[in-house]
Amino acid sequence: MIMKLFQYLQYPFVRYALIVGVLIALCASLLGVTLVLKRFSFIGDGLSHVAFGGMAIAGVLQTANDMFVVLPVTMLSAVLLLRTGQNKKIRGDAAIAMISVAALAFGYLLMNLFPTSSNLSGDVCSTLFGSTSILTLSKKEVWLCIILSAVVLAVFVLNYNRIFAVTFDETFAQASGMRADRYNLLIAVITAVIIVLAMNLVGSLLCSALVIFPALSAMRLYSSFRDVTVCSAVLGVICSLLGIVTAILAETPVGSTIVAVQVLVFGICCLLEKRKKA
Amino acid sequence: MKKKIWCTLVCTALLAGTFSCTSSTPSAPSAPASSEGAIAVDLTDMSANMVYAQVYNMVNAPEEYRRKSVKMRGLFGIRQDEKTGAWHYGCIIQDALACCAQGIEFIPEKEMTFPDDFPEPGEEITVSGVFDFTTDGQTINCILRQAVMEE
Repeated sequence: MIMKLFQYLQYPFVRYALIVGVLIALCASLLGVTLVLKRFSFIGDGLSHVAFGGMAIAGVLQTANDMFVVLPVTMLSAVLLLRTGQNKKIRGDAAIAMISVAALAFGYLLMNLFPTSSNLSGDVCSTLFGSTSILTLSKKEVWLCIILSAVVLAVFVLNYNRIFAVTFDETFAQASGMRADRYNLLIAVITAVIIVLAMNLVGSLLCSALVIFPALSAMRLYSSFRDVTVCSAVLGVICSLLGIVTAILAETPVGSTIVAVQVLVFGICCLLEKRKKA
Repeated sequence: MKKKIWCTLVCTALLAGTFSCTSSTPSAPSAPASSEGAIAVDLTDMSANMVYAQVYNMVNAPEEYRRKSVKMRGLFGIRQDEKTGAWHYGCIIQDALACCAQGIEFIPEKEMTFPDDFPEPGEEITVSGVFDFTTDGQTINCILRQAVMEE
Protein backbone atom coordinates (compact mmCIF):
# COMPACT_ATOMS: atom_id res chain seq x y z
CA MET A 1 0.00 0.00 0.00
CA ILE A 2 2.89 2.36 0.84
CA MET A 3 4.50 1.50 -2.52
CA LYS A 4 1.21 2.25 -4.23
CA LEU A 5 1.02 5.61 -2.47
CA PHE A 6 4.56 6.53 -3.56
CA GLN A 7 3.67 5.46 -7.09
CA TYR A 8 0.62 7.75 -7.02
CA LEU A 9 2.70 10.63 -5.64
CA GLN A 10 4.62 10.61 -8.93
CA TYR A 11 1.52 12.12 -10.53
CA PRO A 12 1.37 15.94 -10.28
CA PHE A 13 -2.42 15.98 -9.83
CA VAL A 14 -2.06 13.90 -6.64
CA ARG A 15 0.52 16.33 -5.24
CA TYR A 16 -1.69 19.28 -6.21
CA ALA A 17 -4.61 17.64 -4.38
CA LEU A 18 -2.54 17.15 -1.23
CA ILE A 19 -1.16 20.72 -1.26
CA VAL A 20 -4.57 22.30 -1.87
CA GLY A 21 -6.24 19.93 0.61
CA VAL A 22 -3.77 20.84 3.37
CA LEU A 23 -4.09 24.59 2.75
CA ILE A 24 -7.90 24.57 2.62
CA ALA A 25 -8.14 22.42 5.75
CA LEU A 26 -5.73 24.71 7.60
CA CYS A 27 -7.64 27.90 6.69
CA ALA A 28 -11.05 26.34 7.43
CA SER A 29 -10.04 24.88 10.78
CA LEU A 30 -8.36 28.11 11.98
CA LEU A 31 -11.44 30.18 11.27
CA GLY A 32 -13.76 27.38 12.41
CA VAL A 33 -12.98 28.06 16.08
CA THR A 34 -14.19 31.67 15.79
CA LEU A 35 -17.29 30.67 13.82
CA VAL A 36 -18.28 27.93 16.27
CA LEU A 37 -17.73 30.20 19.30
CA LYS A 38 -19.71 33.03 17.70
CA ARG A 39 -22.59 30.57 16.99
CA PHE A 40 -21.99 31.06 13.27
CA SER A 41 -21.51 27.35 12.50
CA PHE A 42 -24.33 27.33 10.00
CA ILE A 43 -23.05 30.36 8.05
CA GLY A 44 -20.59 28.06 6.25
CA ASP A 45 -23.42 25.82 5.12
CA GLY A 46 -25.46 28.81 3.93
CA LEU A 47 -22.54 30.30 2.01
CA SER A 48 -21.69 26.98 0.38
CA HIS A 49 -25.21 26.85 -1.06
CA VAL A 50 -24.74 30.40 -2.32
CA ALA A 51 -21.46 29.31 -3.93
CA PHE A 52 -23.40 26.55 -5.71
CA GLY A 53 -25.71 29.25 -7.11
CA GLY A 54 -22.64 31.29 -8.10
CA MET A 55 -21.21 28.27 -9.89
CA ALA A 56 -24.43 27.95 -11.89
CA ILE A 57 -24.25 31.64 -12.87
CA ALA A 58 -20.60 31.19 -13.92
CA GLY A 59 -21.70 28.23 -16.05
CA VAL A 60 -24.36 30.32 -17.80
CA LEU A 61 -21.93 33.21 -18.38
CA GLN A 62 -19.26 30.70 -19.55
CA THR A 63 -16.47 32.57 -17.77
CA ALA A 64 -12.84 31.48 -18.19
CA ASN A 65 -12.55 30.78 -14.46
CA ASP A 66 -15.64 30.10 -12.29
CA MET A 67 -13.85 31.60 -9.28
CA PHE A 68 -14.19 35.16 -10.70
CA VAL A 69 -17.99 34.90 -10.41
CA VAL A 70 -18.37 32.54 -7.44
CA LEU A 71 -16.04 34.48 -5.14
CA PRO A 72 -17.71 37.95 -5.43
CA VAL A 73 -21.23 36.42 -5.24
CA THR A 74 -20.34 34.46 -2.08
CA MET A 75 -18.57 37.46 -0.49
CA LEU A 76 -21.58 39.68 -1.20
CA SER A 77 -23.89 37.09 0.34
CA ALA A 78 -21.64 36.85 3.41
CA VAL A 79 -21.95 40.61 3.90
CA LEU A 80 -25.71 40.43 3.29
CA LEU A 81 -26.09 37.60 5.80
CA LEU A 82 -24.24 39.63 8.38
CA ARG A 83 -26.33 42.74 7.77
CA THR A 84 -29.64 40.81 7.63
CA GLY A 85 -28.66 39.00 10.82
CA GLN A 86 -28.71 42.37 12.62
CA ASN A 87 -32.20 43.06 11.28
CA LYS A 88 -34.80 42.49 13.98
CA LYS A 89 -37.51 41.49 11.47
CA ILE A 90 -35.52 38.61 9.95
CA ARG A 91 -33.31 36.94 12.56
CA GLY A 92 -29.85 35.49 11.79
CA ASP A 93 -30.78 31.81 11.44
CA ALA A 94 -33.82 32.62 9.27
CA ALA A 95 -31.67 34.86 7.04
CA ILE A 96 -29.12 32.07 6.51
CA ALA A 97 -31.85 29.52 5.71
CA MET A 98 -33.59 31.96 3.35
CA ILE A 99 -30.49 32.93 1.35
CA SER A 100 -29.01 29.42 1.21
CA VAL A 101 -32.19 27.67 0.06
CA ALA A 102 -32.97 30.40 -2.49
CA ALA A 103 -29.41 30.21 -3.91
CA LEU A 104 -29.56 26.41 -4.12
CA ALA A 105 -32.93 26.49 -5.89
CA PHE A 106 -31.93 29.22 -8.35
CA GLY A 107 -28.60 27.48 -9.00
CA TYR A 108 -30.29 24.21 -9.92
CA LEU A 109 -32.91 26.07 -11.97
CA LEU A 110 -30.20 27.89 -13.96
CA MET A 111 -28.26 24.66 -14.52
CA ASN A 112 -31.43 23.08 -15.94
CA LEU A 113 -32.38 26.05 -18.10
CA PHE A 114 -28.86 26.60 -19.47
CA PRO A 115 -27.07 23.24 -19.32
CA THR A 116 -23.33 23.53 -20.07
CA SER A 117 -22.88 19.81 -20.78
CA SER A 118 -25.01 16.79 -21.64
CA ASN A 119 -24.37 15.24 -18.21
CA LEU A 120 -26.39 17.60 -15.96
CA SER A 121 -26.71 15.11 -13.09
CA GLY A 122 -22.93 14.60 -13.18
CA ASP A 123 -22.31 18.38 -13.04
CA VAL A 124 -24.71 18.79 -10.10
CA CYS A 125 -23.27 15.77 -8.31
CA SER A 126 -19.65 16.93 -8.64
CA THR A 127 -20.55 20.48 -7.51
CA LEU A 128 -22.52 19.26 -4.48
CA PHE A 129 -20.23 16.43 -3.37
CA GLY A 130 -16.88 17.40 -4.85
CA SER A 131 -16.52 14.01 -6.50
CA THR A 132 -12.92 13.89 -7.81
CA SER A 133 -12.64 17.62 -8.52
CA ILE A 134 -9.71 17.95 -6.08
CA LEU A 135 -7.79 15.48 -8.30
CA THR A 136 -8.55 17.38 -11.50
CA LEU A 137 -7.15 20.81 -10.56
CA SER A 138 -5.10 22.72 -13.11
CA LYS A 139 -1.82 24.46 -12.22
CA LYS A 140 -3.57 27.87 -12.39
CA GLU A 141 -6.25 26.74 -9.94
CA VAL A 142 -3.59 25.43 -7.57
CA TRP A 143 -1.75 28.78 -7.63
CA LEU A 144 -4.99 30.71 -7.12
CA CYS A 145 -5.75 28.48 -4.13
CA ILE A 146 -2.24 28.98 -2.69
CA ILE A 147 -2.49 32.79 -3.03
CA LEU A 148 -5.99 32.97 -1.51
CA SER A 149 -4.99 30.64 1.34
CA ALA A 150 -1.89 32.76 2.05
CA VAL A 151 -4.06 35.91 2.18
CA VAL A 152 -6.55 34.23 4.54
CA LEU A 153 -3.77 32.95 6.83
CA ALA A 154 -1.99 36.32 6.87
CA VAL A 155 -5.23 38.17 7.70
CA PHE A 156 -5.99 35.69 10.50
CA VAL A 157 -2.53 35.85 12.07
CA LEU A 158 -2.18 39.64 11.78
CA ASN A 159 -5.65 40.26 13.27
CA TYR A 160 -5.53 37.42 15.76
CA ASN A 161 -5.91 39.60 18.89
CA ARG A 162 -8.82 41.58 17.45
CA ILE A 163 -10.59 38.45 16.18
CA PHE A 164 -10.11 36.95 19.65
CA ALA A 165 -11.70 40.04 21.26
CA VAL A 166 -14.65 40.14 18.85
CA THR A 167 -15.22 36.38 19.25
CA PHE A 168 -15.50 36.39 23.03
CA ASP A 169 -17.05 39.74 23.94
CA GLU A 170 -18.21 41.92 21.10
CA THR A 171 -19.80 44.49 23.41
CA PHE A 172 -16.60 44.89 25.43
CA ALA A 173 -14.57 45.11 22.23
CA GLN A 174 -16.84 47.92 21.01
CA ALA A 175 -16.70 49.69 24.39
CA SER A 176 -12.90 49.59 24.27
CA GLY A 177 -12.91 51.49 20.97
CA MET A 178 -12.60 48.57 18.57
CA ARG A 179 -14.79 48.71 15.46
CA ALA A 180 -16.35 45.28 15.92
CA ASP A 181 -18.52 45.67 12.78
CA ARG A 182 -15.40 45.85 10.62
CA TYR A 183 -13.96 42.69 12.11
CA ASN A 184 -17.28 40.85 11.78
CA LEU A 185 -17.26 41.88 8.12
CA LEU A 186 -13.66 40.65 7.80
CA ILE A 187 -14.62 37.29 9.33
CA ALA A 188 -17.58 36.98 6.94
CA VAL A 189 -15.42 37.77 3.88
CA ILE A 190 -12.68 35.31 4.93
CA THR A 191 -15.35 32.66 5.52
CA ALA A 192 -16.67 33.24 2.00
CA VAL A 193 -13.17 32.80 0.52
CA ILE A 194 -12.64 29.57 2.48
CA ILE A 195 -16.02 28.18 1.44
CA VAL A 196 -15.30 28.86 -2.24
CA LEU A 197 -11.90 27.15 -1.91
CA ALA A 198 -13.37 24.24 0.06
CA MET A 199 -15.89 23.51 -2.70
CA ASN A 200 -13.04 21.99 -4.72
CA LEU A 201 -12.16 19.69 -1.87
CA VAL A 202 -15.44 18.36 -0.53
CA GLY A 203 -18.18 19.94 -2.66
CA SER A 204 -20.67 22.56 -1.57
CA LEU A 205 -22.86 20.34 0.64
CA LEU A 206 -19.97 19.14 2.81
CA CYS A 207 -18.07 22.46 3.08
CA SER A 208 -19.17 23.32 6.60
CA ALA A 209 -17.76 20.01 7.90
CA LEU A 210 -14.24 21.35 7.22
CA VAL A 211 -15.05 24.43 9.29
CA ILE A 212 -16.85 22.94 12.29
CA PHE A 213 -15.47 19.42 12.93
CA PRO A 214 -11.80 20.28 13.68
CA ALA A 215 -12.91 23.12 15.99
CA LEU A 216 -15.45 20.93 17.83
CA SER A 217 -12.93 18.08 18.17
CA ALA A 218 -10.27 20.46 19.54
CA MET A 219 -12.81 21.88 22.03
CA ARG A 220 -13.22 18.37 23.51
CA LEU A 221 -9.50 18.32 24.37
CA TYR A 222 -8.57 21.92 25.20
CA SER A 223 -10.27 24.90 26.77
CA SER A 224 -8.18 27.99 25.98
CA PHE A 225 -8.69 29.82 22.68
CA ARG A 226 -5.00 29.51 21.78
CA ASP A 227 -4.79 25.74 22.37
CA VAL A 228 -8.11 25.07 20.65
CA THR A 229 -7.01 27.09 17.58
CA VAL A 230 -3.66 25.27 17.25
CA CYS A 231 -5.21 21.82 17.90
CA SER A 232 -8.02 22.57 15.42
CA ALA A 233 -5.47 23.49 12.72
CA VAL A 234 -3.43 20.33 13.34
CA LEU A 235 -6.53 18.06 13.36
CA GLY A 236 -7.93 19.75 10.24
CA VAL A 237 -4.72 19.18 8.27
CA ILE A 238 -4.30 15.56 9.47
CA CYS A 239 -7.95 14.65 8.70
CA SER A 240 -7.71 16.20 5.24
CA LEU A 241 -4.47 14.36 4.41
CA LEU A 242 -5.79 11.05 5.76
CA GLY A 243 -9.08 11.51 3.91
CA ILE A 244 -7.46 12.25 0.54
CA VAL A 245 -4.95 9.38 0.84
CA THR A 246 -7.66 6.92 1.98
CA ALA A 247 -9.97 7.98 -0.86
CA ILE A 248 -7.24 7.48 -3.45
CA LEU A 249 -6.18 4.08 -2.12
CA ALA A 250 -9.62 2.72 -1.15
CA GLU A 251 -11.45 4.05 -4.24
CA THR A 252 -13.98 6.07 -2.24
CA PRO A 253 -15.34 9.59 -2.97
CA VAL A 254 -12.80 12.16 -1.70
CA GLY A 255 -15.16 14.67 0.00
CA SER A 256 -17.21 12.20 1.98
CA THR A 257 -14.09 10.26 3.01
CA ILE A 258 -12.52 13.43 4.49
CA VAL A 259 -15.75 14.17 6.40
CA ALA A 260 -15.95 10.53 7.59
CA VAL A 261 -12.39 10.80 8.95
CA GLN A 262 -13.34 14.04 10.72
CA VAL A 263 -16.40 12.40 12.31
CA LEU A 264 -14.20 9.51 13.46
CA VAL A 265 -11.64 11.91 14.98
CA PHE A 266 -14.47 13.83 16.68
CA GLY A 267 -15.67 10.54 18.22
CA ILE A 268 -12.14 9.74 19.45
CA CYS A 269 -11.84 13.24 20.95
CA CYS A 270 -15.18 12.79 22.75
CA LEU A 271 -13.93 9.51 24.23
CA LEU A 272 -10.65 11.16 25.31
CA GLU A 273 -12.63 13.97 26.95
CA LYS A 274 -14.73 11.47 28.91
CA ARG A 275 -11.61 9.60 29.97
CA LYS A 276 -10.00 12.85 31.09
CA LYS A 277 -13.03 13.77 33.21
CA ALA A 278 -13.35 10.29 34.77
CA MET B 1 0.20 32.53 20.63
CA LYS B 2 1.45 34.00 17.36
CA LYS B 3 4.57 31.83 17.68
CA LYS B 4 2.45 28.67 17.83
CA ILE B 5 0.34 29.75 14.88
CA TRP B 6 3.44 30.66 12.86
CA CYS B 7 4.94 27.26 13.75
CA THR B 8 1.79 25.54 12.46
CA LEU B 9 1.93 27.59 9.27
CA VAL B 10 5.62 26.85 8.72
CA CYS B 11 5.02 23.11 9.27
CA THR B 12 2.20 23.19 6.72
CA ALA B 13 4.37 25.07 4.25
CA LEU B 14 7.13 22.46 4.70
CA LEU B 15 4.59 19.67 4.22
CA ALA B 16 3.29 21.30 1.04
CA GLY B 17 6.88 21.84 -0.13
CA THR B 18 7.70 18.17 0.44
CA PHE B 19 4.80 17.11 -1.77
CA SER B 20 5.74 19.54 -4.49
CA CYS B 21 9.37 18.31 -4.44
CA THR B 22 8.60 14.60 -4.85
CA SER B 23 8.33 15.05 -8.61
CA SER B 24 10.18 12.42 -10.66
CA THR B 25 11.27 14.96 -13.29
CA PRO B 26 11.78 18.73 -13.05
CA SER B 27 9.19 19.46 -15.72
CA ALA B 28 6.63 17.34 -13.84
CA PRO B 29 4.81 15.66 -16.71
CA SER B 30 1.27 14.42 -16.14
CA ALA B 31 2.37 10.81 -16.56
CA PRO B 32 5.59 9.12 -15.36
CA ALA B 33 8.07 8.38 -18.13
CA SER B 34 8.57 4.82 -19.36
CA SER B 35 10.97 2.90 -21.54
CA GLU B 36 10.24 2.48 -25.25
CA GLY B 37 7.83 -0.33 -26.07
CA ALA B 38 6.47 -0.54 -22.52
CA ILE B 39 3.03 0.75 -21.51
CA ALA B 40 3.55 4.43 -20.65
CA VAL B 41 0.20 4.93 -18.94
CA ASP B 42 -1.23 1.79 -17.36
CA LEU B 43 -4.69 2.68 -16.10
CA THR B 44 -5.49 -0.92 -15.15
CA ASP B 45 -3.03 -0.67 -12.24
CA MET B 46 -4.76 2.31 -10.57
CA SER B 47 -7.67 2.92 -8.20
CA ALA B 48 -10.97 4.26 -9.61
CA ASN B 49 -10.32 7.86 -8.49
CA MET B 50 -6.81 7.84 -9.97
CA VAL B 51 -8.05 6.43 -13.28
CA TYR B 52 -10.78 9.06 -13.53
CA ALA B 53 -8.34 11.90 -12.72
CA GLN B 54 -5.70 10.55 -15.13
CA VAL B 55 -8.22 10.24 -18.00
CA TYR B 56 -9.48 13.75 -17.19
CA ASN B 57 -5.89 15.02 -17.56
CA MET B 58 -5.40 13.09 -20.78
CA VAL B 59 -8.56 14.58 -22.27
CA ASN B 60 -7.66 18.12 -21.11
CA ALA B 61 -3.94 18.04 -22.02
CA PRO B 62 -3.82 15.49 -24.86
CA GLU B 63 -0.60 16.86 -26.42
CA GLU B 64 1.37 15.56 -23.39
CA TYR B 65 0.27 11.99 -24.11
CA ARG B 66 0.45 11.87 -27.92
CA ARG B 67 2.13 8.67 -29.24
CA LYS B 68 2.33 7.18 -25.74
CA SER B 69 1.05 3.66 -25.26
CA VAL B 70 -1.96 3.48 -22.99
CA LYS B 71 -3.69 0.52 -21.36
CA MET B 72 -7.12 1.05 -19.84
CA ARG B 73 -10.04 -0.87 -18.38
CA GLY B 74 -13.60 0.44 -18.51
CA LEU B 75 -17.07 -0.08 -19.89
CA PHE B 76 -17.52 -0.76 -23.58
CA GLY B 77 -19.46 1.98 -25.37
CA ILE B 78 -20.54 2.32 -28.98
CA ARG B 79 -22.19 4.94 -31.19
CA GLN B 80 -22.96 5.23 -34.88
CA ASP B 81 -22.14 8.35 -36.89
CA GLU B 82 -25.45 9.58 -38.32
CA LYS B 83 -23.81 10.99 -41.47
CA THR B 84 -21.34 8.26 -42.43
CA GLY B 85 -22.96 5.30 -40.67
CA ALA B 86 -19.54 4.33 -39.26
CA TRP B 87 -19.34 2.73 -35.82
CA HIS B 88 -17.24 4.41 -33.10
CA TYR B 89 -16.06 2.31 -30.16
CA GLY B 90 -15.14 3.70 -26.77
CA CYS B 91 -13.85 2.74 -23.34
CA ILE B 92 -15.75 4.63 -20.62
CA ILE B 93 -14.34 5.34 -17.15
CA GLN B 94 -16.56 6.33 -14.22
CA ASP B 95 -15.51 8.12 -11.02
CA ALA B 96 -16.00 6.73 -7.50
CA LEU B 97 -19.47 8.29 -7.24
CA ALA B 98 -20.35 6.86 -10.69
CA CYS B 99 -22.00 10.17 -11.60
CA CYS B 100 -19.22 11.48 -13.85
CA ALA B 101 -17.76 9.60 -16.79
CA GLN B 102 -14.87 10.13 -19.21
CA GLY B 103 -14.48 8.14 -22.39
CA ILE B 104 -11.74 7.51 -24.94
CA GLU B 105 -12.51 6.24 -28.43
CA PHE B 106 -10.43 3.35 -29.77
CA ILE B 107 -9.73 2.19 -33.31
CA PRO B 108 -8.96 -1.55 -33.44
CA GLU B 109 -5.68 -2.58 -35.07
CA LYS B 110 -7.32 -5.51 -36.89
CA GLU B 111 -10.55 -5.18 -38.83
CA MET B 112 -13.43 -6.03 -36.53
CA THR B 113 -17.18 -5.93 -37.08
CA PHE B 114 -19.92 -5.03 -34.64
CA PRO B 115 -21.60 -6.90 -32.97
CA ASP B 116 -19.79 -10.18 -33.83
CA ASP B 117 -16.29 -9.24 -32.62
CA PHE B 118 -17.27 -6.99 -29.69
CA PRO B 119 -18.83 -7.52 -26.26
CA GLU B 120 -22.23 -6.12 -25.30
CA PRO B 121 -22.26 -2.32 -24.66
CA GLY B 122 -21.77 -1.74 -20.92
CA GLU B 123 -19.56 -4.80 -20.44
CA GLU B 124 -16.08 -4.35 -18.96
CA ILE B 125 -13.21 -4.34 -21.45
CA THR B 126 -9.41 -3.88 -21.32
CA VAL B 127 -7.89 -2.04 -24.27
CA SER B 128 -4.34 -1.01 -25.08
CA GLY B 129 -3.24 1.25 -27.91
CA VAL B 130 -1.33 4.35 -28.94
CA PHE B 131 -2.79 7.66 -27.73
CA ASP B 132 -3.66 10.32 -30.29
CA PHE B 133 -6.21 13.10 -30.67
CA THR B 134 -8.04 15.08 -33.35
CA THR B 135 -9.58 18.54 -33.11
CA ASP B 136 -12.93 19.58 -34.52
CA GLY B 137 -13.23 23.31 -33.88
CA GLN B 138 -12.98 23.63 -30.11
CA THR B 139 -13.78 19.96 -29.51
CA ILE B 140 -10.89 17.58 -28.82
CA ASN B 141 -11.47 13.91 -29.61
CA CYS B 142 -9.08 11.51 -27.92
CA ILE B 143 -8.38 8.23 -29.69
CA LEU B 144 -6.43 5.04 -29.00
CA ARG B 145 -5.01 3.91 -32.34
CA GLN B 146 -3.81 0.37 -33.13
CA ALA B 147 -5.98 -0.74 -30.26
CA VAL B 148 -6.04 -4.32 -29.06
CA MET B 149 -8.79 -5.65 -26.82
CA GLU B 150 -7.72 -8.22 -24.28
CA GLU B 151 -9.74 -11.42 -23.99
